[in-house]
Amino acid sequence: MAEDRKKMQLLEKKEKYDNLYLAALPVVTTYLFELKKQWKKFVIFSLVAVSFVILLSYLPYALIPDNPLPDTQADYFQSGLNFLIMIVIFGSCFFFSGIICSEYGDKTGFITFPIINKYKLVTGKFLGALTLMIGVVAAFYITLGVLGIYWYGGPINYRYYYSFGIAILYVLAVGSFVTFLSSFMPNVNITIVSAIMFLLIANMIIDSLVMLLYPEFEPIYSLNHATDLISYILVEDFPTKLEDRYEEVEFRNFSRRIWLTPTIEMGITIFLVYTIVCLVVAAIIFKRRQL
Amino acid sequence: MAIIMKRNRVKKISLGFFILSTILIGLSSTSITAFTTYEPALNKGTVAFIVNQYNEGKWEDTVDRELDPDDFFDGDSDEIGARSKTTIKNVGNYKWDLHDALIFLLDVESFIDEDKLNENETLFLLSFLSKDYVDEVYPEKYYVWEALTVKWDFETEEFDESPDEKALILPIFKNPQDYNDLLEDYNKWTLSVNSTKVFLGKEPFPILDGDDFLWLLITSGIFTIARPFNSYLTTLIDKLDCDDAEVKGNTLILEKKGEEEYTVEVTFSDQGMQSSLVIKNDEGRVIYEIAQDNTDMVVLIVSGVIAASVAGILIVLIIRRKKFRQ
Repeated sequence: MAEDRKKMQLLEKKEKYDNLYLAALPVVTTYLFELKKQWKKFVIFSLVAVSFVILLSYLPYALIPDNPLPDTQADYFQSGLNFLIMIVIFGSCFFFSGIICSEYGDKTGFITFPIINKYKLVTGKFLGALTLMIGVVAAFYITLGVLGIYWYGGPINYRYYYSFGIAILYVLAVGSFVTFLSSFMPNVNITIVSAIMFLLIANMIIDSLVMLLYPEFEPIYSLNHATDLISYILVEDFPTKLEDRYEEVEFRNFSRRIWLTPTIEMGITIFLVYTIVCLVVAAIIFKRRQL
Repeated sequence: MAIIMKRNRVKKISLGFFILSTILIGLSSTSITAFTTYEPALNKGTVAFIVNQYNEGKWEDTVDRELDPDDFFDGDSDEIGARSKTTIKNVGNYKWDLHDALIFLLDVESFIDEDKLNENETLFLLSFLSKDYVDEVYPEKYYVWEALTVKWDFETEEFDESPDEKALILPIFKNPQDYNDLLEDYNKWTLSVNSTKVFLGKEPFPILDGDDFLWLLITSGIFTIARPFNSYLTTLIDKLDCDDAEVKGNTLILEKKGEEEYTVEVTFSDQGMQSSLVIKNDEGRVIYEIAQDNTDMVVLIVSGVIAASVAGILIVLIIRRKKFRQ
């Protein structure tokens, strides 16, 4: 009797695993398909990332004898990470823009959705694009890290890995935002243009307006402000007090406050809030969207 | 016909005169080309050093009973395994004068012990060190390549994040003769200041000969030379009139006398920096050794080879797979 119960329990457990496997299979299949489909984009963006690191963080020091290297490896990384934001924005636009809207634009949803659950399909595509984008960011960090060892010797400053972690959160937030745009835009091209316009221009205009109207308000709504944490985390004495996190700049009797960085907790929260809100809203729109 | 022959002769004489003058000018100018032109070999980047050997007993018996290696080379340089590193930030052309040499090379400020002097005495002594005074009395300029560096002193543990010296300057005098001019100016300046120092009852600045000056340059840690190294070092010891120094390749060998006689061998790297320093007793046994530490570069090269191999294998696999599909 006890043996039968044990057998039953084992069978139930096996069935549970089988169900889980069957549920995850479409996601994994789509994920692998997305990796295969987008690998050329990945190679191009990785080459662009590596080229920009070499152009901005190697050649100016190697070719111009008077151009001084920063004092320490951390300072070098900090100056080299400036271009990362551009790579993430452009890369995310190209990798994530087609996640939802391409299914509607190309009418492929008619074929796939009855066979594969549409949420599993989108999840697989999102994870695939995220993996490739993290790969591009990793290529950027690895190249800069190798150059850091080349100029300053090893080991790599441990805060560089924190910076990489925060950069991944930033990729997640930007990827989610582009996915959100993709959920209601008619096609891929318009999604790319809108995302770039918003992330590069609109964000900056909003930040400037808020800075003018409410100079003492810290822009905790802003992705731009949160991205400062990617490079500022490399500073040896990370500012913990509020008054250390901004600089007052005066110009012709006009004073403005420039925020240097959010706190670590606040920066991570901003990225996670963007990620969660964008993905939830995208899911709702996606659910209601008709082919 | 005679006129034509005369013209031809004039032409030949003119041509001969032109060729002869060309040869003579060429010969006379060889003395100019015989001068060696030096080039800086320093590149941006980081150089690490490690204390490989230190025999404390032999050091005390041979070099100095009172002073340890850390009195010469800073930090924990009296510990085997201690590492130091210097990052060269940039290299540029500058002009130096005696004032720069007194501050950066000879570090005379450290001789003025302000604790033992009252305010007026300190100000009076420092007036001899003011840029206006030194520039007025010793106006000669020296052409140098100057490397701006940051330096971490010898440490047995991990390096601190911030360097111990944030603006260390390594000068490379374009003409090694300038070291001798500088030494002469320094000794003149010392004589002028020492009368005041002695009057105040303080210890005078040391008067240096060529050998003392060379040892001071080496222990300062900033002595760097230009390419071709052998010629630079040979000219330097000739001009400084050093009796106890000789040059072998890129190595400078100094005969020193401490508790007993010993030799110091300083080898210069392909960048012109001091890459190793070995102190030996008269039996040829090593008492103390600092060497360049290339561990990081080896790690970087090995990582590069592994990464290139992995990338190569991946590319071959992708190409083979494509061919197989076709």
